[in-house]
Amino acid sequence: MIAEPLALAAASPASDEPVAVDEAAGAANLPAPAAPLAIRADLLWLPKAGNTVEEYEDAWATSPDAAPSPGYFACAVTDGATETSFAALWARLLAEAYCAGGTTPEALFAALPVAQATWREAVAAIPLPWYAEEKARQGAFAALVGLSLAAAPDAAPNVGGGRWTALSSGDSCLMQLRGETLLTAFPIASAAEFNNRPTSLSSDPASNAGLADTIGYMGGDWLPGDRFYLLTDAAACWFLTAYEAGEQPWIILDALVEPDDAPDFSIWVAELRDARAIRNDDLTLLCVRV
Amino acid sequence: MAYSAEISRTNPSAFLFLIDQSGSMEDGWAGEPGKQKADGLAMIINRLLQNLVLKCAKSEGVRDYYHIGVIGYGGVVGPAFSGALAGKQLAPISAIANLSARIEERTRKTDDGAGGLIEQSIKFPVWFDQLARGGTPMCAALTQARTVLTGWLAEHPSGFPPIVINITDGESTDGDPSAAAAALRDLQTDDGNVILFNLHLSSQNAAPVQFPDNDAALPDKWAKLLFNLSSPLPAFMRSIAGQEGFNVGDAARGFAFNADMVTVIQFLDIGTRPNNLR
Repeated sequence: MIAEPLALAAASPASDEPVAVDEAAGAANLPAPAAPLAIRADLLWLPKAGNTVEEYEDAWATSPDAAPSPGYFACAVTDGATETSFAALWARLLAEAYCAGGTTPEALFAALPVAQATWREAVAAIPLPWYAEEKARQGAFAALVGLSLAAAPDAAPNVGGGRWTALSSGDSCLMQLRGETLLTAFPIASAAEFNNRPTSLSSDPASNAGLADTIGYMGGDWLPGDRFYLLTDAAACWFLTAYEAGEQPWIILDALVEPDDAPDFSIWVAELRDARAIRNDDLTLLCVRV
Repeated sequence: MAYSAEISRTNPSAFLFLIDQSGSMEDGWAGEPGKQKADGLAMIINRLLQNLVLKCAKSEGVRDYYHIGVIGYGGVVGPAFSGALAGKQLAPISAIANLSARIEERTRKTDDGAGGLIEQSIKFPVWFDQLARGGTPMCAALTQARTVLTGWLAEHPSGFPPIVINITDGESTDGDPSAAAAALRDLQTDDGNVILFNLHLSSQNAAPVQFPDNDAALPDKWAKLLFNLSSPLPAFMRSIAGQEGFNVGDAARGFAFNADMVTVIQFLDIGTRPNNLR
């Protein structure tokens, strides 16, 4: 079963209506971004071929209406680890923790205990056979990439650009594009660096010991017209492989997130999977345009 | 490229264990003083099955990425599961998960994440207790494994190749098992040959060895024989082993001496496994 691609938001400062999305696919309503940033966020996602929509374990979130300040926007994409259980729940909690203010390594680690407690309570409420109990004891794991955008002080919407920061744990990636130039690939800049053994944030506090040193954190400037892609690992690996071959993989992504006349995302992915040009995995692409 | 087939519920792989239940397994085991080799074997096969089940367990249940069989050899040679699994040559791993002989409550100390230790109660499934009777018909066991897998391969010609793990003290009583092992390793799918591992449980008080490059450091002729029956570790396994922090050479074989070989479950690739998963 293949989910339809989901165009999540075409929000602007003029729009104060959240954009309803396909509840049957397990998505939630997204709030409009805070003024005065003019941001458009579009999401595409698909479960691994052979898996059901219910088995999709990536997640995403955007900053809530009550953002820390006007001119601020945060979003995150997370990827629950296949070999761990209740990973979809943990991935969602982690994305929400980032967007609710955990946008620096210190703030994220401060927010983790609440997310971990929420996860534990949810799992403890379910009667489990021995294997599920043991997997729950091991905890769930998820990769995270989060992006925060802030407008330059006192600037009119998007006129002067602003600053961005990004945080990562594991192999979900951020790409910053300006025109036809890839400015940033974070935290992984080469397709050869992907493997199936990333270090990821866990719902089990003991498994996060020593992880603070592995959290990626960086920042930069954005200008009006820039695009940011937050990609889970299979999409990021495909992107960097194409880029390293001299291609411009953002051209197809830019077309896919257009609201009108976009190529069919699920057909495009199926062709890539058939050609083994992309790993068969849950796939999530969040495009943020400023 | 060999060993690149995706393991999924629609395209599963298989694990076949051969367990030595001969009388010589009553001898002492150097791997754990005070225990017989047969005790060590029961502990190891239970741990291997437990870890395989956990590998495939998700929130909603166990996904049938593998079909599992256990052939016992001693007084008789044949399927070794008891209870509802009795007589099954291969069963989906979800059935293995739900049909253990019993589940024991055990305690273990674990890191509490704040610098201390806490005692946890865990459930430990048991499929096999120790059994030691008769000779060691290893040739017959390897031949039966070939028969079982030939049938499975006819139904799964494109799957990830089956893995066979033979757990024994190595003292075959029905002849040199080299030819039967070679015939088993010759079986293949479109994705590569069957992989044969040998785990040697010995009374010899020598250092445990896992995945050696050669037999020079092995303590006796039985260990050397089993090393030579074992498949080279495929490149994908060596790569994952390296990512997991194991020092595995290019010529490493699927052989272990007085070690539990549970690490081999970590070398299987069914999706993302965080490297900080404990």
